[in-house]
Amino acid sequence: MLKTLSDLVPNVFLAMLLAAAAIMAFATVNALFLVWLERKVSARMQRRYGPTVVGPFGMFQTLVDVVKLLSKQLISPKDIDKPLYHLAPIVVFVPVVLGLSLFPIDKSFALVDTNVGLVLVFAFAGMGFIAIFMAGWGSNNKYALLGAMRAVAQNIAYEIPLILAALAVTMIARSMRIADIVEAQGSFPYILVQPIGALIYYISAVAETNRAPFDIPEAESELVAGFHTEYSGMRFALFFLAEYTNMVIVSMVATSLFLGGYKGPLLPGPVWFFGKVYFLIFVMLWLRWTFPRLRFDQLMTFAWKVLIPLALANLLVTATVLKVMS
Amino acid sequence: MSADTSLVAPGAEKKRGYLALLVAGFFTLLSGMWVTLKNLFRKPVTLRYPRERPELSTAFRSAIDLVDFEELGSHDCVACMQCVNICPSFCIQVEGQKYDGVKRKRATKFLVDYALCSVCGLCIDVCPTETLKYSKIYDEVSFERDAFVFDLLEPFVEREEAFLEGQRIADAKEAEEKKKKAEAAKKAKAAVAAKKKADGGEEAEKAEKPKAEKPKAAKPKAEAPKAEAPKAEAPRADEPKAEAEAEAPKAEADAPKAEADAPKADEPKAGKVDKAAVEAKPAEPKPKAAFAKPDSDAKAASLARIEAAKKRALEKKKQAEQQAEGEGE
Amino acid sequence: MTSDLHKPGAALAAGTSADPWATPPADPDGETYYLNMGPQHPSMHGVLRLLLELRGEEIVKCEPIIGYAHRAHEKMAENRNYMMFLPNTSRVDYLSGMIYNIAYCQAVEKMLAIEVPERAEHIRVIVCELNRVSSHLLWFGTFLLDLGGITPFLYSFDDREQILSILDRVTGSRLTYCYGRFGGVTEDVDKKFLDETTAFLARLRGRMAEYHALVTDNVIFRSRCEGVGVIDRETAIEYGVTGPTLRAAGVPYDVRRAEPYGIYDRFEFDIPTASGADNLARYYVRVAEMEQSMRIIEQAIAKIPDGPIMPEKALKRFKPDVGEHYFAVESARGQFGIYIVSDGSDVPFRIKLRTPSFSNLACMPDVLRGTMVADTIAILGSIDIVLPEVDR
Ligand code: SF4
Ligand code: SF4
Repeated sequence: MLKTLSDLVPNVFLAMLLAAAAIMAFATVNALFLVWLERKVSARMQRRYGPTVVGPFGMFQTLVDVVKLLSKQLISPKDIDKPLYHLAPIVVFVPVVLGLSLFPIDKSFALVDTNVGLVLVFAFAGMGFIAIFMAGWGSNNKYALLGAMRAVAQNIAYEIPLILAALAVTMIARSMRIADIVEAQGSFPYILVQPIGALIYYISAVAETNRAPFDIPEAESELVAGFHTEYSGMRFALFFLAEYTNMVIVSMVATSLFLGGYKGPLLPGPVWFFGKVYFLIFVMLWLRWTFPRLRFDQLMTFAWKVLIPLALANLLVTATVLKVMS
Repeated sequence: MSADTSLVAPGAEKKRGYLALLVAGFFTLLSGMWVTLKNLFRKPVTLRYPRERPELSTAFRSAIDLVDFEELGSHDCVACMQCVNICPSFCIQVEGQKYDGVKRKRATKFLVDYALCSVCGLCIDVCPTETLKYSKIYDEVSFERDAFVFDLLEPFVEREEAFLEGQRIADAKEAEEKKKKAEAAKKAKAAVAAKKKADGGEEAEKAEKPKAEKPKAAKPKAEAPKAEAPKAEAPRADEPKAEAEAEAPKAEADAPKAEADAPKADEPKAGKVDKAAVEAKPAEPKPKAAFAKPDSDAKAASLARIEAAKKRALEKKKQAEQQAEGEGE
Repeated sequence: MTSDLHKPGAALAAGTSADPWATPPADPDGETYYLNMGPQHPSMHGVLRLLLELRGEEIVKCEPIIGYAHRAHEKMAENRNYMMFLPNTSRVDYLSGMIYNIAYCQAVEKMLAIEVPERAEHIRVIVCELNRVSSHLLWFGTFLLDLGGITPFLYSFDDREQILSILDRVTGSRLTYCYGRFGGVTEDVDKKFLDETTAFLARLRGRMAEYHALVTDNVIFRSRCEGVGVIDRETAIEYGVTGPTLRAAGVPYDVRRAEPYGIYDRFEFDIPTASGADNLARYYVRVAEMEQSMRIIEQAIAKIPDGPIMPEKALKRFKPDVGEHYFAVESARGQFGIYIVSDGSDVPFRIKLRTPSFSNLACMPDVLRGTMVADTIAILGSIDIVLPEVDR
C-alpha cells in the first residue's frame, strides 16, 4: 500500500513542514547537481574539460557559484513595476516546489498522494508562466517583454499537446492518480503502447521547460536573456533553480506515465525512478547542446500544425482501440 | 541524412510530402545527435591553461628584447635610433652616450612599452647590429599601464662597466694596430696606390692588408695625421677618429674593427668588417641592409661569419699583443 | 543612405535627451516601437548598433549605426611612412588579417613595380588561403551561434585553432599578422610547415563530414536558413555587395578570377555560386569556398619552388612617384581595395581602404525590412561583417 508523509507523521503541520524542507533540499541539491552535469556534459560534447577545480570532477563548482550569486548586489532597474518585478522570482519558484511533491518514488512511498495528481502537476506547471510574464512585464525592458510574450504564447501552445498526450495514458490506465498509472503499467511500460504519445509528450515537455532548441523566451542571440534580462544575483538564481527543477518535474511525469516509474528488475524502486528521470534529463541536455534554436513562428507552427494534430490523432486512435477492446 | 551526405546546393532538394519531410527531418536530428554523442567520449582538446602551458612556436613574437651576445658579453645597441624612427607604435625610447676610449656609442636607456607595441618586427628588421629579438613572454598581467614599460637594459647594467673596460682595451689595441697599418700603408702606398686607383678598389678583397688599407687609402690624407697624433696615448686616441668616421658610414665601418681585438668579444663585429669591406663599402653606407636577407638565412650566415671571425680575431689579437709588447709605451 | 528614422539633433531639439543619437520617441499611434539592438548585445557582431522599428516582432525599419569601432586607420596612414603602416593593415579586419597585410604589400609593390620572388609568392598564397579558411571557419561557428547552436561553434574553433597554430609557426602571431614585407615575406617556411598544412587539410576534410551531419542536413538549421534574408542579384549589385554574399546571389565574381593578382592565375579553382541568395545559399557558398581554398593550398604546396623570399635589394626608405594607385584583392568577405595617393614623399598622401563589410552592411535596411527580430542576428551573421573593418 502506498504510504504518504501524512501517514507516517501524525501531525499535519509537522508533515507539511517536513515535506517542504525535504522538497526544498531536494530542489536545491538537484539544481546544483544538474548545473554541474549540464556544464560537464556540454563541455565534453564540445571537447572541453568543463569544471575541474572545486571538488571531485569540479562537482562543487556550482556550490561556489551559488555563494557568488548570493553575494551579488541585487540591482533593480529604473521605472520597474515594483510588485510584479519583486514577486516574479518567488512566484516562479512556488509551483515548482508544489509539483515536486506529487510523485511516488517507490512502490510504497510518495510525499502526497491524491487522485487528481496528474491534473495538479499540469496546473502547477501552468502557473510558472504567470511568473515569467510578471518578470517580463515588470522589468521595464523591451527584450524582457518580448521574451515574456513569447513564453506565454509558447507555453499555451505546448501545454495542449502535453496534456493530450498524457490524456491518452490516463485513458488506458483509467486513473489520474499517478501511483495508479504507474501500477497499471504491468510488466511493460506505456512507451511501448504509446510511442507517438511519448514522443509528443517529451518534445512538448522540452518546450514547456524553455530548453533549447525551444528556448525562445530567453534566446540569447536575439533577446539578450529574455524575461530575466534585468534580474541579478539571487533573483536570477531563483529563475535558474525553477528552470532546473522544472526539468525534473517533466521528466518525473514522463517517467511515471511512460517509463513505468519506479518499476524495474533487481534494483530498488527509487534507484529505477531517479535513474530514468536523470536519463531523460540527460537527453534534454544532449538536445540542447546539439541543435540550433527554432524561430518563434516555426515553433508555433510546429506546435499547432504538427504536434497538436498528431496528439489528437493519437488520442482518437487510443480511444477507438480501447472502446473496441472493451 | 546520413553522416556522409555531401552538401546539397540550395534548391537541389526535391519536394517531398508533409509526413515524409517530418520523418526525414527527424532522422537528420538523430544524425546530429550521433555526432555530439561520439564527441562526448572523445578526449578534450583544450589546454588547461594555468596548469598546462602552451608550447610557443619558434617564431613566436612578443615584446622586443636585446640579444645578449655571448662574444660581447653584453648587448650591442649602438643607439643609432633606427628602431625608434621606424617603430609605427612609437613605443621605443633610446638614449645613447659616448664613453671615453670607446669608439661607438652605447645605449644608456632603452625602454619599450609593450602595451603599445604591435609586434610588427620592423625594428628587428632595421637594427644594424642585429641586437633586437622577440622575447617569449605572453601572459604578463597588470593593473597598471606602466607595468608594460620594459627596461631592456636592466639585465645588462651590472655588466656595463666590465664591458666598457673590455671595450676600451680592445679599442686601444685596435687603434694601435690601425696606426701601424696606416704606417705600413704609407710605406706601401707609393707602390700600391697607382694600382689601387686603376682597380677602382672594387675587387680589393684579398688578405688582411689590402683590406685594412682600403679605408685609409680611400680617404687617406685626412686621417693619417689624426691617426699619427694620438699615437702616444692609446685610450683617448680613438675618439676623434671614430667621430670623423662615424659621420660617413655611421660608425659601423670602423667600429667593428676596433672591437676585433676585444678579449672574448670580437667575432660578429669582425665578421661585419669583412662583409662591409667586401660588399658594402663602395655603394651602401650601412653595412646591413634591413631586408637583404631573410632572418633564418641571416642567422645561418652570421653564425658562419662568427666562426670565421673568431679565428681571425684570435690571430689578430696575438699579432696585436706581440706588436704592443714590441713597441711598449 | 538617408532615413527619416532619426535626424541628428532632432531629439535634442525636442528636449527629450541631451544625446543627439538617442533613440527617437515611440510611435505616437502605439503601432510600432523602437528597439535599440547593440552596440552592447551579447551576440551583436562587434559594436554595431541597429535601430529597429518594430511592429510586434516584425521589423518595419532598420538603421545600422556605425562608428563605434572607428580607429582612424586611414588617417594614421597619412602620418607615417609606407613601411610603418604595415601593422595597421591586419588590424583593419582581424579575421583575415593576413590577406589584408599581404594585399597592402602587393599594392605598394605594384606602385613601385617590385618583383616578388617565386617562393615568396607561393608562401603568400598558402598563408592567405589558410587565413581565408580560418575566417570562414570562424564565420561558420558564429553563424551557428547566432542560430542558437553552440556546439558547432566550438568544433569549428578547434579546427580554426589548428590553422592559427600553423600560421603562428611562421608568422609568430595568431591573429594580427605582420608577415608581409614589400617584396616578400619576413620568415621562410620549412618542410614541417608544409607537412602540417597538408595534414590539416586532410583533417579538415574529415571534419567537414561531421559538420554536414551536425549542421548542414539538420532540419532546424535548414528551416532557419531557407528563404531567410534574401539579398537578390539586383540589390546586391546596387549596393556594391561583394564576396560570398554576392556569389550566393548567383554572380560569379571573385577578384582572384576577375582581376588575378599575385599568382592566382596559375591555380585551378572554381568559384562556387548559389542561386538562393538567402542564408542557406551564403552558407553553401562559404563552405564550398573552403574546399576551393584547400585545393589552392594543395596546388601551391605542390608547386612551391626553392629560392629567396625577399628580393636581392631590399627597400628601406623610398619615395614613390606622384600618382594614384588602386589595388584590389578578394578577402574572406569580399573585395578589399587599397587606393593609394602618393605626393612623391615617403609618406602616403592618402590611403583609402575599400572594405567589403561596409558595402555588405549597407544593404541591411533593405534586407531586414519585413523580417522577424529573431532573424536579424542570423541575417547579419550570414553576411559576415566584421565591425572594425566597417569602421576602420
Ligand atoms: S615590434 Fe614594431 S611596434 Fe613593437 S617595438 Fe618593434 S617596431 Fe615598435
Ligand atoms: S636599431 Fe638596434 S642598434 Fe639602433 S638603437 Fe635600435 S636596437 Fe640599438
